[in-house]
Amino acid sequence: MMDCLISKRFCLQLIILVLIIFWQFFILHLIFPVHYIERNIFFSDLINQPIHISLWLGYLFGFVDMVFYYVIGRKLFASNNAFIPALIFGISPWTAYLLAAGSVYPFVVCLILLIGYGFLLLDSSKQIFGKILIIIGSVIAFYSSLYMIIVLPLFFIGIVLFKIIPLSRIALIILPISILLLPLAFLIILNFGGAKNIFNQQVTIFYDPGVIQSINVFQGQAQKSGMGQISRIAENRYEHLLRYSILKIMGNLVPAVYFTPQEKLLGFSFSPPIYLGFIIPFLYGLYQILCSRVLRKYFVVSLILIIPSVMAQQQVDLNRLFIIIPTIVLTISYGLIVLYHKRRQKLFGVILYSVLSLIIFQMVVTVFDITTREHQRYLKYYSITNVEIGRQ
Amino acid sequence: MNKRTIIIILTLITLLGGVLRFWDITKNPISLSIDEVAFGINAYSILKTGRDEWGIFLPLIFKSVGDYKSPILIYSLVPSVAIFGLNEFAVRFTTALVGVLSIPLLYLLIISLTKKNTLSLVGAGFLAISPWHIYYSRFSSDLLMALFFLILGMWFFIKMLDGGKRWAVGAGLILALSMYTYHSEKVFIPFLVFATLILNRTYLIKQRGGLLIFLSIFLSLVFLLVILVIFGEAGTRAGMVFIAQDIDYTRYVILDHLHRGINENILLFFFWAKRYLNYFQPNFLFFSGLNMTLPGTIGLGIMYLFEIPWLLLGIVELIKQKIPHKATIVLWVLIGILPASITNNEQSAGRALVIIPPLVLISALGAIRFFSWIKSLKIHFRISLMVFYGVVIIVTFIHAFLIFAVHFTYERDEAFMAGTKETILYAIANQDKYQEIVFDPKRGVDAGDIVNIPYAYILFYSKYDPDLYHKELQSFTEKYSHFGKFTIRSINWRDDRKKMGVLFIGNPWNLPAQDVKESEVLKRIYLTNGREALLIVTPKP
Repeated sequence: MMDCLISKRFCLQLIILVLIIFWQFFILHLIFPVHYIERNIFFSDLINQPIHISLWLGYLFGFVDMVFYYVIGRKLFASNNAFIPALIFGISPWTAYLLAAGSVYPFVVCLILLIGYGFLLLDSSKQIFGKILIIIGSVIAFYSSLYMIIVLPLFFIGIVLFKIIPLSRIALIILPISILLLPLAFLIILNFGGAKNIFNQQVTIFYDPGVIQSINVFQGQAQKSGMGQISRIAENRYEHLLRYSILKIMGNLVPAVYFTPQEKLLGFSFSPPIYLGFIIPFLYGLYQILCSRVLRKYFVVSLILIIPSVMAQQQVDLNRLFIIIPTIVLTISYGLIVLYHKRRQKLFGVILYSVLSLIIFQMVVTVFDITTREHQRYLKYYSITNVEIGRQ
Repeated sequence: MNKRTIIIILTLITLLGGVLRFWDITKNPISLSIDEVAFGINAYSILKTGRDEWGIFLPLIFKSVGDYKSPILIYSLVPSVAIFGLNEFAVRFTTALVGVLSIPLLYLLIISLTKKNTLSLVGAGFLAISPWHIYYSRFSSDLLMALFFLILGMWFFIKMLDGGKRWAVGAGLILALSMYTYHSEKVFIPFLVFATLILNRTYLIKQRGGLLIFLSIFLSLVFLLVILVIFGEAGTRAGMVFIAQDIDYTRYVILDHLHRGINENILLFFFWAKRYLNYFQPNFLFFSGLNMTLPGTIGLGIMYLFEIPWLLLGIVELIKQKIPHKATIVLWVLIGILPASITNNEQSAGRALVIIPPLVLISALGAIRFFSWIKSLKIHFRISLMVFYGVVIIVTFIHAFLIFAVHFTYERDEAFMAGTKETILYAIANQDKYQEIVFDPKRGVDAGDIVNIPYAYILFYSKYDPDLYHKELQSFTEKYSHFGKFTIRSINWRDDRKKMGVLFIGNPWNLPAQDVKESEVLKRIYLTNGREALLIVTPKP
């Protein structure tokens, strides 16, 4: 009987996953066909051979991401809740828009999920398999994206500093990764100029001329007013850039970025990255995580994933920020599951049903809005009919 | 802490707040804004004649410059204008005074909400140095006066909730008064009051007497206000600034050239949600929310940068600690953003000012926790952290001082109509030499499209007889107005250059350098940044 129930649940979850995939196809079909300029993966740029993730491969990685969410969901939550992270990821406009635009970041998310799943397996009987996954995921990530050279080492350092996994176990993973990265290190040394160019193209945090100009203007004004000396203490270049960096970091962590069209997907859309209704389970899940000593360490370490977006010229780059979606999705899932378990308490029941109603409502509104207005918005923002929307 | 110590500390904090608000108040902001001048001339007119600038006897809504101002600030300016005369100090004095008095009042409010002395003192101290509160205290603003009544009214209200029936009358009166003072409170207070009553309903059933007194006073005064809004002109302002008029919404969300359907209103709901959550952006909170410098620069937020950890810790402490009116504090923030979020501004620090009391309280909670954590550290870490944080605080204060004292004047003087006073004083001093003095109603360095309202400045600086002005009102239209020797109309230099014996005051767009001879220019008025703002010219043969 139990086996029968379990297989029924599994079939139901499988059906839900298939429905999500159909929903993805439906949204992808609706979205006005814009795309990013293709970006070569990191090591191929170093060897001057163009290798990029093609559109159909991007779609494939998007669907693989959903499978990973399901697998990770089974590990973190009870098996009958495993489909929730995949569902949230699958129905979010963020996923659909970036897949439609040929973004490279669903592929990067795939690698991050692979690494994350590997870490989850370290505390199980499949330790060796977990280590292999971490090594494979990390190595491919290093070879594929410049940012992973910054993000992954910080990620490992964070895991050790917060004592999530002891240094001795991490060392057994880092050693093979280091060996496998030797060819990449040689490539960078041999083509140092090329590597520097790639770095300068992708790390543009301080490239906004207004940032430095404003401090010069301030100092000039203070000088004319006879306060030049004190202006140099509190309004110098270093202090200003530090403020600017803090602003950028904080700007990537506010709810409005994820749950409203504040930053405009692909530079023009009114669809939110994640539906507004999910903000309540997100905040509740965040509260639950921060109350737990263990979980909040994982959460804090995962915030390193905003670094690529912080490195961009604009305040928030939704394309690069996509790599933090696992943290957001899992937090929402956790909040939703806890809300569901408490649904018999009146207040939580009302909240849960309101949340679900709002999500479904906004899904319908978004579909109508995409069909009636998105193309016109694209034309209004870009003022051209060319469908390329810029570099990644 | 004994009572005497508390009073001494509170007095010192209040004095500090007074210095920060009154210091150089007539020169910073550099000039009276259109609203301030309008407040001043209406108060002067009420003082002399009992009528507003449009001749209406003791109005409940002031038409003013077409924005239908609430009455309380204008009536409160009458004694100030009577004592000090019609000048910058008189116009700004009342708001600054009210700003200073808000400091001990906030102490009383926080004590009633939390029953914690130290927290209340720290909160009062934070309000005294709050850049948000200081900014709005230094020029005549009805929203700061409304905040004063809000704090006072909520203090009475919380006292009433805590079992004090005798506070009910004051609570009803003062909270209603706050609603008459500014538009945000009209939306905010009813929601907060009724939400708080619902949260405390079981207790209030036992305190029926006080509740009935409060509701009867509050509702009857609010009913009158509702009549004025729906059937009078008070609703005009609301219509002008409602979020559905927002350019971003009409042009880029619903794309106004497309056929409109039902889902346009649904999209408005999601657009509003975006605007609501915008008020939690770090840019607004800590970097440039006060708009004291140009867009794209890092100016001053509504809170200081060093308050970031205090705000976050304060939220944690608010959740963890048992605080008597915790739910009211949370609701105050959540509902307080509502009025600002339904207007057609991306973010408006003024309209969101209602949330300053709970924000200050939360920040104070966090600061206390922060410093008690530092005290628990080992001596070396403690000293290092204190030194580091001390440096951060000092640097932030220096930056804030420079923003107020220097950059605000350089970058925002045009928003405060800098230069208009000089032109008016010149015209008044030389009016006998000319048969007519013509003012262009627009100015602007970049485009000549900023509405100037020069007639209000003329009335203010010439202390024009209100009785005489009321009689001359018949000659006013939208594009032309004339009183005494003064005419307000657009200058068309191609025709106007032939009118001898007339003084013209306009902007460089209407009086372009290639058309105006140098000998015709009597005076050029420059902004602080050196750009030419206004010209005074007279045609020469």
